[in-house]
Amino acid sequence: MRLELRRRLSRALVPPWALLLLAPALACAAPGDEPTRANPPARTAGDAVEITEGTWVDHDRQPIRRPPDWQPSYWGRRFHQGLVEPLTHVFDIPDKLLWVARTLGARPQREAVNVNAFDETPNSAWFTNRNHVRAVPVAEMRQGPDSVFLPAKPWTIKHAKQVGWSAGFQIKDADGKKWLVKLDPGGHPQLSSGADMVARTLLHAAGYNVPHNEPVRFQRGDVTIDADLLSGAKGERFADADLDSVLARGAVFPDGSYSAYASLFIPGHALGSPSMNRLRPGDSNDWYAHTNRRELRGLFALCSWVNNWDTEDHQFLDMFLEARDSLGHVDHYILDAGSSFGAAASGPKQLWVSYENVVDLPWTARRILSLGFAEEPWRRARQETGIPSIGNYESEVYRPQDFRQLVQQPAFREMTDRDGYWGAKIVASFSDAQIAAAVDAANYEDPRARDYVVRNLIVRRDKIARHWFGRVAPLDFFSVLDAALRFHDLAVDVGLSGGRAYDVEIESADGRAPGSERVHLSSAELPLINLGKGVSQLSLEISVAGDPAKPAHVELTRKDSLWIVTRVRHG
Amino acid sequence: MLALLVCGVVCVCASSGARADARFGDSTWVAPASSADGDTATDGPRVAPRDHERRWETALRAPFRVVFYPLRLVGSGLEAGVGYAGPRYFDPKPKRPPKSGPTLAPGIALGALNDIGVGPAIRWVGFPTADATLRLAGSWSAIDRRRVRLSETIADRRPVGFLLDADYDYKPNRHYYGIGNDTPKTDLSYFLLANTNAEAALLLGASPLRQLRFVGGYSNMSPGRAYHGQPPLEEVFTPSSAPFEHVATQELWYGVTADLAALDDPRDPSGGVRGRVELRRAMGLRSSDPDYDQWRAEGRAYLPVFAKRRVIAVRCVYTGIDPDGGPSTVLPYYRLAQSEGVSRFAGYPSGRFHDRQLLLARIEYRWAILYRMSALALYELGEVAPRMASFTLAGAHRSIGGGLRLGLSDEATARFELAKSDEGFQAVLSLGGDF
Repeated sequence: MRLELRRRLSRALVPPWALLLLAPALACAAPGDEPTRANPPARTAGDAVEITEGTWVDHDRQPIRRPPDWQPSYWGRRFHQGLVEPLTHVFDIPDKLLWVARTLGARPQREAVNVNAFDETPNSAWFTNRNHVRAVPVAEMRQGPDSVFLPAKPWTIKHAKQVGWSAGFQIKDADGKKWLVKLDPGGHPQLSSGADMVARTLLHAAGYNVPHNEPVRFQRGDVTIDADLLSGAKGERFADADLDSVLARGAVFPDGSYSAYASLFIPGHALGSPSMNRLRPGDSNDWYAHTNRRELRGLFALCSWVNNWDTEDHQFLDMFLEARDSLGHVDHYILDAGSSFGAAASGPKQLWVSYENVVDLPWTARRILSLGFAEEPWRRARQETGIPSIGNYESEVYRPQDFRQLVQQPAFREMTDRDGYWGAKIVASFSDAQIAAAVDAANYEDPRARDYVVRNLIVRRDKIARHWFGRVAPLDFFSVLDAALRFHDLAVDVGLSGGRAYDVEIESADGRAPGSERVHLSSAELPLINLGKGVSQLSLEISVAGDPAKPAHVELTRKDSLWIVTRVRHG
Repeated sequence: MLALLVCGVVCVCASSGARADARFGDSTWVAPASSADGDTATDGPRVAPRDHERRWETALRAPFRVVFYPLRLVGSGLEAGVGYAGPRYFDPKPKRPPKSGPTLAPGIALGALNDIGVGPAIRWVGFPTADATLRLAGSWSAIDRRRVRLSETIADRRPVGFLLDADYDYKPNRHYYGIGNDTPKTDLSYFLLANTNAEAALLLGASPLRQLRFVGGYSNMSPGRAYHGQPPLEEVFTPSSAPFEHVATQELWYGVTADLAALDDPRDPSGGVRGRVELRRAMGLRSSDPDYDQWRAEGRAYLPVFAKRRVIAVRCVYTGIDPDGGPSTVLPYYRLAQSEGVSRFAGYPSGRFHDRQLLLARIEYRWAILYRMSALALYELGEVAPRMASFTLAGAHRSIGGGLRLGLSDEATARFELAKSDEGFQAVLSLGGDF
């Protein structure tokens, strides 16, 4: 009987163990994320949508019916992303197996999926290529993400602000437009409103959709409470005492006016926040897992730059914009960037925030094991600026890759070097003049604030570029001109490095010429005249001479007598 | 392929116009190789097919997903619970005067794993006066423990305040090992105790950390035969080794309590001292009820170890009971000083030692590991004795252990401790103590 039981037990246990042992082999043998063919043909998906890897526009605003309103529970998600997910990853056995597979040469880590042939993210309902492909004029940045347009006074309060940590209320302005007013925390005029303005200007110039927010100042007399709200006729009640209590939490300028920012309601129907862990139900355009979207993964570099430490799902918003016949599409916004730089809704951010997750298991383990003698970087960092409108922000101890959000963002966790490089490239694309203009958009009253933010943004930008350009060779913007392949070395462009030399390994991609050829370049230009005779496709691996950064891979295709760039991959 | 070629041609064309000022990072930069214009709402291609998990990864993860599905359900349940409670309890609300009138809510009273009481809790702000709050909570646990507590605070946090407190605690399985410092652990027995207390206090001082309280009250303790625990006391001990075995006692008492503290942070102190003294005189209501004096002195000190996040915390407790009729007067075993509650010896079970006097000294090394949470290592000496002169270092019971401490407020902490003594390990989760 016992023998029989043992036999059955062993039979039952064999498949999982076999799978465990086979897992690394599975991962090694599995095909990579992307087709290895140099020039994949246009494909057609099962639902007859054309797939073109070379496109710069991902057509994801096709007309659909309005999806049902849905958003993840704020506190549930916070609990999930703050505690459940970090714990889950600690005990994720398949992850550990994949890690073993990596040591055997496999590349089990998944690359972002919505990347075109040139290793860029096409325009979509989430993202529009802006500053890194065409610089946003300095004068435009000085105005913020869009033109200055303030809520007309007097304001009528229509609702109390229901969620979030900052004090505020919903208003209808004198022109009948709806805004959400959020007060800066007491004692810190322009802390959140300034941070939001600067961060949002930069995020928009980077390519993200942001709402129209305006830093505002108002007097108590500019605000009245809607009669229905005052009487509680519609169920919700907000009395003068409530308003006084809200205003008491707000920041006041020396002239007695309140400091706040007003967020214009975005046109369309608010569907709720997206979840980073699932697609939006009912949106047939939303078909890449959000954690596999390049623009969401690469957002890490931008958040690290502006110190936007609160990137939970609820900082995003999906809006349904109806076009005709009840059909429309969903646009995806970054809703709130007020928790950037040294700001938090209740005052200057706590010192550990942006250096650690709220439950940071690695740091917790280090502290436990060291009996409290491990010194965290945020303790060494001189963050307290003493500037009320800036809060706790620094760039000296800051390390781009060690930036942490309050709770872990699932898309950031999936970020690869390629995604990080892409984000860093966008960060590096901002010139000093653009940064200064973005900070000017906030109209800081304290002159120290402007200079401090500009200076630290520049230092942080360079640190970000230096970090990712050191991991992935920053060779980009390949083009063929005058029978030569020309490219940019972004590290040289942004002044992080002097002129450099490059090594190129050239192979025939169509198999017509065996072997490879090595070329050494002293500038970012490869003459193509004598290359690949009788060959229709070339595969180039270009690295910076003497630099360990992962090389760039470029594929050239011959069309008639011209070579054209058909594929680029970084790292 | 055609699209790629078209795009490539466009790149070439675009590059010629951009060459003049094409410097990355310049405010006039135009990329040579992009054609990122176009309307995403028009008909056109997608850049990649629908995204799915890779098949081999699904195959790899599937067995683990099945095995860990119950844990996932637990996580989802917790998530749903937090999602429900968050907006109600965690979201910041505008500060406004608390609503007057009674509110009813569920209440929980923590105890051992099988002694977690649940029941209703009523809070009545503004009763009977505007600056008063009445609290009434009752709970019942799986071991039939019944607790009722009524408290009324008038002029809380004012220089002069008033407190009324009454509670009833019926617990059918209290521990008793006999009287003395060397009672064997094999003598564990159980008894029932129904404890009724009522007290009134005049509070002088707005802060609980610097306050003088004049207190008077009534106490009724009624022992009985245990259930939910074997063996009962009377099967292990003779009446002489458990005085007042089945005899209830009623006392009227009065006294004074004083708190004095100088701390850098009352919730998570890293430097400073705190002292508390309680003196009581109790008079039996009936001739059979003993008269006695009772005292409790507690001192704490906190010393940072080169940084506020590392703290050495020391706590000493001396508590005792002394009959008015002299040392030979017998006191009920259930009114003796005992190692339970805030005087529990870390590595020993609750109620392990009973005698007239109890000494406890603890040193903790605490270090911050998370926001408001510290890990701690503890070393503790605890002893009971009939009189002060009987305490010896050799007789002290040693506990060594570690745990976690979470500062909930200036007056409450949550602690988890795992401690080892010569009688084995003890794990305790406590809520409400302020050390």
